[in-house]
Amino acid sequence: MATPTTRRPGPPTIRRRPEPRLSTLRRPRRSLLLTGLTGLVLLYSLVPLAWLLINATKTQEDLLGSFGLWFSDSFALGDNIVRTLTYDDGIFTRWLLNTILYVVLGAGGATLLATLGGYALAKFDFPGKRAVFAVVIGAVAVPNTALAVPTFLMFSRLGLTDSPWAVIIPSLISPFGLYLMWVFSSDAIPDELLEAARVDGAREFTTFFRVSLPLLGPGIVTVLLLSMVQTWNNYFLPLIMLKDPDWYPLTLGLNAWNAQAATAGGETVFNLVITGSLLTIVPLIVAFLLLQRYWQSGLTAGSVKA
Amino acid sequence: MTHAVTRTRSRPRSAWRDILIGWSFILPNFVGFALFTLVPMLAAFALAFLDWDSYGTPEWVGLDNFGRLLADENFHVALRNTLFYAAGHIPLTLVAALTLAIVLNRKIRGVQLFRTAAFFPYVTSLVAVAVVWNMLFNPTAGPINQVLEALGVADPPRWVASTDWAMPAVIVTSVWRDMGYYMVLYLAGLQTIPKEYYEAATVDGAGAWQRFWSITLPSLRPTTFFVLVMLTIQSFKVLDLIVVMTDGGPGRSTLVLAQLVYREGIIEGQFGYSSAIALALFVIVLTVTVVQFRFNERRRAS
Repeated sequence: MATPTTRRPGPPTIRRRPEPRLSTLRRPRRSLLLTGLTGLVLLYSLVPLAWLLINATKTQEDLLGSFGLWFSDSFALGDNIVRTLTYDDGIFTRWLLNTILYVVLGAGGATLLATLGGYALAKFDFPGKRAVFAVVIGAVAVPNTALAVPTFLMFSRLGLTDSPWAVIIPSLISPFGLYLMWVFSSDAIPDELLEAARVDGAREFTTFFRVSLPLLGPGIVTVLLLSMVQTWNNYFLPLIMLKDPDWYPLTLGLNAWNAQAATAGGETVFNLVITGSLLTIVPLIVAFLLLQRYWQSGLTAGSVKA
Repeated sequence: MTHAVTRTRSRPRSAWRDILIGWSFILPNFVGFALFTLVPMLAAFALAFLDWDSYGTPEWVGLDNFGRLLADENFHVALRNTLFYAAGHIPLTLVAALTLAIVLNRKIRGVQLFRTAAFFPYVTSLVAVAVVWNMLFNPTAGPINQVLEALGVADPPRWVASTDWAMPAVIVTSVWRDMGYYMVLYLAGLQTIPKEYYEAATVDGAGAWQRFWSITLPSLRPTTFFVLVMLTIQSFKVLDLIVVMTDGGPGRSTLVLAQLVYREGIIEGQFGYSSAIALALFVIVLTVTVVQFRFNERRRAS
């Protein structure tokens, strides 16, 4: 297209890199220092997770009786998993289902809203755009705790505390997701493409779903994964909103078990806490492994131009 | 050419269409931000000037809450602890993230897998993080002290069981959790440095350290600034990890500002006073961030 298109005001776009994936620098020599450092930082990042994996295979007695970083004679992983899932009438399964509910509606909804909003900010001119941007950036800086009391009061006035809505509705708003989708949309969708669709008489929403959405794939995956992490691991919001253990997500439930294991009178269920912790993180780890190509390039979009 | 003509002729209509469509796309987000950020923010601001607990009726008390704040010993302790945490968490996470990014920015087999592995801690559920690290830091049965003793340290720290070492233990844990996330940002920054810089430096006989100090670090300045600002905001906001790992203890040794807001507001029901603490926290975060931006601009200008 030869006609110069006018650039709309918006976020500065990223310099387009020749290849979308993170490329690596070719090192002329392998330095000893670097190899040593690699070992050290990888040890630091992986040993705690290895500990979790190893200790999920131990019985309650072996947990304290054997060296933490190696397996004991008993291999009780299967047994531990069964006990975790069935303990206290299968409350863990209930918490897992709650968490899935919050993630599907909360993170899914947040991604949808962020995609729509980010696309609008990147591709349409309308008054009030600057104001929206200011509010979004401001929202990133505000401590959640500062908003906790008023939000709690608002929800309790509406009679929504102690219900799933109190967790789902605030999760729908993701300032960082919106920002990421904005940067991503302005970079991934050429204006010419939208113009062409409009000239052909396509309606805006059709254009959005048929033309733009497929181009936003990696961005959407990144925002979805990050919102999933946020919602799946959300602790503070459910902590202030929920009293009824039947609506707990995994985080609150596990913490309740942990507290029970720490008190003298309670039944010691440390092995269940550990196995439960392992079960809690496996789905996210699998998701990140399978989609590593997308998020590793998607996450960079928001930061390169900062 | 015909294309340009169509553009000019249809501008008024397209401007209206842009406004309408733009707002309809952004509206759900905007309503959300208004309801769950703006309104609570204004409410928190107003609440800070009220005396209101969960039983009584709200009463305007002016600056009384802030007077109480300055005299509150818990606030002093929490402020000191928050600053201690930030002073440890910000530089250590930055260095760890940069180190990870540099060692994982090489052409070695399975490097993508390593990057994902280094990102795992960030994905790990908070309660799992607390459980694992509390066990690792266990003074007698924990592997950390067992290794220290095996290495000949006669009297290793009691970590989360000691008032002096609980905060360092929390910092080590939080650096572990966050470094993978900032590593990805640094990896992105490293991609923007032209390879020719390194080649030219090597030809000139610069060693690995020299290349790092004179090429890598200066080129990463924008990334470092972004990471620094994000880390600062995050450090002052810290709450979840401390609640599940130490709950502010032993004693008040890991009590932080955000936790004081939570205790006074949600647990004690002192809505007014807790909002005053929240406001103070917000002002601190804002001040530090503004100073960072100013400093960055001055450095860029010079």
